[in-house]
Amino acid sequence: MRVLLVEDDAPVAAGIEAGLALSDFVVDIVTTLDGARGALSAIDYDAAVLDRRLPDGDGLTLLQQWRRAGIAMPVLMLTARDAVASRVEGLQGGADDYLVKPFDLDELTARLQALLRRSAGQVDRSLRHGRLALDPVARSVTLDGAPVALVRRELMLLEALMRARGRILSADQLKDRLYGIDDEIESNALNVHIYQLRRKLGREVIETVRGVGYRLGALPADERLHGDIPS
Amino acid sequence: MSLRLRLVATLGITLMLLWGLTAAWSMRDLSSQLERSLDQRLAQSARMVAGLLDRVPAAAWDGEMGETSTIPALEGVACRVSSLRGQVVAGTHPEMNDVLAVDDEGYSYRDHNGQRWRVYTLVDDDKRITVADRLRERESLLAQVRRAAFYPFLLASIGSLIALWWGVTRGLSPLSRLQRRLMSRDHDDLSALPIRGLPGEIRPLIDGFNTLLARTRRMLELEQRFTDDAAHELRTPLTAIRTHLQIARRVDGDPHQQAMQQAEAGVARLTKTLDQLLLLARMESEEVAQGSVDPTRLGEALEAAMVETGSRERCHWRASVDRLHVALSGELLVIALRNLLENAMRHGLPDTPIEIEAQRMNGLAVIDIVNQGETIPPEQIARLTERFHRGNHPQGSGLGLSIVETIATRAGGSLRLASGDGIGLRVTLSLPLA
Repeated sequence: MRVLLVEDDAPVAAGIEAGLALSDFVVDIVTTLDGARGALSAIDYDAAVLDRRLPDGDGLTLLQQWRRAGIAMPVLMLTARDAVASRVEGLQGGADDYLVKPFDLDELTARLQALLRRSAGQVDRSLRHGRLALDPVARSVTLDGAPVALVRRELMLLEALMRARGRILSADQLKDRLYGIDDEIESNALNVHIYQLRRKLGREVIETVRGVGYRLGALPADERLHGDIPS
Repeated sequence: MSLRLRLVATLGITLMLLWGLTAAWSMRDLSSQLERSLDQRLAQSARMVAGLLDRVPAAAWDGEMGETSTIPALEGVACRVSSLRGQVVAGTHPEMNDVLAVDDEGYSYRDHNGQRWRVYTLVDDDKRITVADRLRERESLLAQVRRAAFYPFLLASIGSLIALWWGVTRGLSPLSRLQRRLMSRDHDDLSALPIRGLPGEIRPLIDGFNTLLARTRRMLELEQRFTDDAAHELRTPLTAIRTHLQIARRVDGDPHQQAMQQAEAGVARLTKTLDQLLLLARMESEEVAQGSVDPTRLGEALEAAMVETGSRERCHWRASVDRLHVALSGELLVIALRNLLENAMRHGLPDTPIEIEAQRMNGLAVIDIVNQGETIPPEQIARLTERFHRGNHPQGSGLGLSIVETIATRAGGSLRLASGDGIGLRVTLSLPLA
């Protein structure tokens, strides 16, 4: 999952980035409101962690601009002000959640995952696709209840596809989910991960749409695409 | 005592006194007037009798002589005609000799059977005519007149009291409105009270009140901003420490070391911010003594500050610095200079010199610390001494210049900042000479 972190304090930003990376989040750090605007115009982020107090203004004004522009990306606000009024202000300004510094890293991760789950319309902790289940918190995948061993990037790729719920994702969009701005990407890295996933879960799990991209394929013996929605 | 009660009481009592005096005066006047006019009527009736008797031939008198003619008596009025010798010719009430037998001409009072009479005697040629009024009749007439005059007085007084109450209440209604408005406000509502529609007497009061409210509002805002800033400055390094410690617990090897280092750096930063905050609090609460301290040689303090900040290599100063003695404790002067040098190192371009000059001017030691660097726009300059304002230098605590300014003003000096013309920042610290 790709997260935009808007935080001007370098040690704090580095800590959050390292902490979120432990849960396989790909984090881009920007230190100003302008930087955040630039980053958001270039990359389609799954969520943003936004500090309120930034060198060029209040994070809340940026959030309000985003919301007015129709950007619905989940946003978690960070602030040092713990007054109830200031939390209410943040939530009413369009924040989906609010954390007061200093926070617990586990709480930040859990809240971000909860935001992502909600924005994907997912009810329970695991993402499900037929016989396949992915637990984004435990970072584990099971097929018919049996654990499948995946390396980090394979799991991130599968998670991106499962969250897309059958939508087609281009190769670039998939790379955005897997790599940060500063990561070096080998040209065929994505193909390697796709090959490995197909080998471990079955050929049909990823469907190639020629010239467009990839999407989650129907798994044999189970025709349902959205196994998590009770009928 | 309420203003309304006081007004009504004062005005009411005065009004009642005036009304009472007027009433007493007119009553007295009334009784004497009435007495005089009744006396005149008494005298006129005597003259009328005399006139009537003049037309009667004297023979008629003589013929009847020896026999008193008696006229049927009227209640409360009596009359007698007698000869000068005292012989009664005609009259009423023959039994009332003690009233009607008067020799002298003129008015008098007489008693008969415990009742008082007003008597008038007229001597006309050879006759004496005496007429009398019973006083009881006069008194009851007076009482009637008094009663007739009293009711309008009473009505007027009650009416004026009511008018007074109404007028005062109406006159004080802007005050009552103001009171209601104040009572209905939230206890933390600090917005200005509307002045429009208030009478001129209260307006200065509310103006003053609004000024006070505005000042309170400003102070609360500053206080709130300081609290927010302090929270931010203390919580940010805490966040870094906590986050990095949590990471360190989960990773091994190099990343573990890095996380620990970051956490330690956070602790160092937090310590520095806390130290500066405490120092600022101490500066603001303690008296920075003027005059009573041992003078400090500027050169010595500068030396110490340069060593502490490691800025000796970059500093250029004139010998004149050594000759000045400042009326400020050595500790505080070193703190001030240290903060200014740290600031110059941070803001100045790397490896450019920091110029230090000092001179006497109007009884003050004026110390200039100049570093090269980007020009700071004037609106930024004004904010540099605000607590926690860090400009574009996130490394500092944002308190250094505030501390120096506090030290300077407490010691009776000042701190001025300027930028431009190739100078990044010129800090002018003026301190009283020893």
